[in-house]
Amino acid sequence: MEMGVKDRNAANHLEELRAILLTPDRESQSTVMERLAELEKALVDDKAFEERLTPHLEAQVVHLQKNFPKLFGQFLGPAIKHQIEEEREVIIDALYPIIGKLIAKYLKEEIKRISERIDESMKDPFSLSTLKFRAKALFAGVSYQELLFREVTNRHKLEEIFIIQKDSGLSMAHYSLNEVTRSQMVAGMLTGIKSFLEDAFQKGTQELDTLEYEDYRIKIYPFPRFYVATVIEGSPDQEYERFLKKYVDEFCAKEPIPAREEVTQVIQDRLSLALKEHFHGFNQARDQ
Amino acid sequence: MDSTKQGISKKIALLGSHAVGKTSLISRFVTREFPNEYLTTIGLRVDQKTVQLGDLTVELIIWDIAGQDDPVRIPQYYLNGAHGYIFVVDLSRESTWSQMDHQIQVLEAMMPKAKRLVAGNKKDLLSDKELQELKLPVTPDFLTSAFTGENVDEMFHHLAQILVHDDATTA
Repeated sequence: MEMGVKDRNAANHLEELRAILLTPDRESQSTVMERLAELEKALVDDKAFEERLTPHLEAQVVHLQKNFPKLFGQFLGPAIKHQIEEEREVIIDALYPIIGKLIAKYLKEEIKRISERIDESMKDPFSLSTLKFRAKALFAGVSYQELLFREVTNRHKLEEIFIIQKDSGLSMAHYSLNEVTRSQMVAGMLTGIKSFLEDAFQKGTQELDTLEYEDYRIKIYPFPRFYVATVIEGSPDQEYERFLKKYVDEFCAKEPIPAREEVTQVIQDRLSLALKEHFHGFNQARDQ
Repeated sequence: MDSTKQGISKKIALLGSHAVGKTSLISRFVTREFPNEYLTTIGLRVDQKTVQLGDLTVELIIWDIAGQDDPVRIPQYYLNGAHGYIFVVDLSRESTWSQMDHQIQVLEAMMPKAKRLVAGNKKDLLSDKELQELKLPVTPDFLTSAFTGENVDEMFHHLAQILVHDDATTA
């Protein structure tokens, strides 16, 4: 059946209406489809995906690097311990070349130092000190080489000496090979530690004898109202300690150390000067 | 002036309850700084500072002893030979000064020869009105602030003067 004019007009109007109503939707749909296609491409295309992801990954790596100890510190100790227990041999194989090199370097340095000392000691084989040393070896019943090796590997040096009032912990005199300006602080802390230890262990009337830290040893010589503290570098043997005690006793016997409570500058100056004169040549005297 | 007295060393102790500001007062006096971080004193710390009083140089050896609410628990050996001490309370915390008369009595028995000053510290935390209303069992010799430095130097200098004056009168 043929469409009448009226019907055609109606169809045209309907088409126009449809166009008016649907065109924006169609355009929007088309944009969404294009965008979807782009996204699909970005996901499927490795290069595009990498370009988008890289900045985020880099930022995360920086964050992890900065906060690694905070984020993972607590897990590291147990993890390393576990790893060592599980693969002890592998770890040893990995570390051995590094630690071995360090030990070798240290030993090389030490041997060089000892060698230099031996060279120094043997510079003049007919000097008075060398002859004395040979005589000492003879009397001690050991070879010259052995005694020399013992001497050069076991050297000690008196670094500082204090006379400290027992009760107050005030330094009454101080002599140092190096400049130590805060001697009163050292004397106070030493007295505090000494008193604390003696009180804590309550061993009758026994007094603290020795304190050690790293390569230093503090030997303490008590007297009724004061004590003498000596700081020695190295680990002295008994012979050295006897020699030092003799020096300390001689000083305290000849030098009047006031028992009164006042610690005046005059007393400090007089005693410090006396200490310096008495102990000035101690290290050299000990070496001869 | 007596020639033997041109320089002299004096041991002083700072005592009081925990966190009243003993270490901060010493830091302010010795290094001119206020420690921003609170670190409790473990056992003992010794510091020194020289004070000039006219021709006389007084070297103050300052024993900063860990805070104890009950002074009986302070080891006697830390107090032996002390020429003077400063008893410090925190003005903003009543628990640090409510028993101060008793605490000072105990300390006097432990150090009968030592000269004493009482410091009311952390003054900066209270308003003038609050300060006036405080009823402390013992009136502080100095109201101090380790934070601002108010009266800190004055207090240590005053103690040094008392100690030197004491020597002059007992000599």
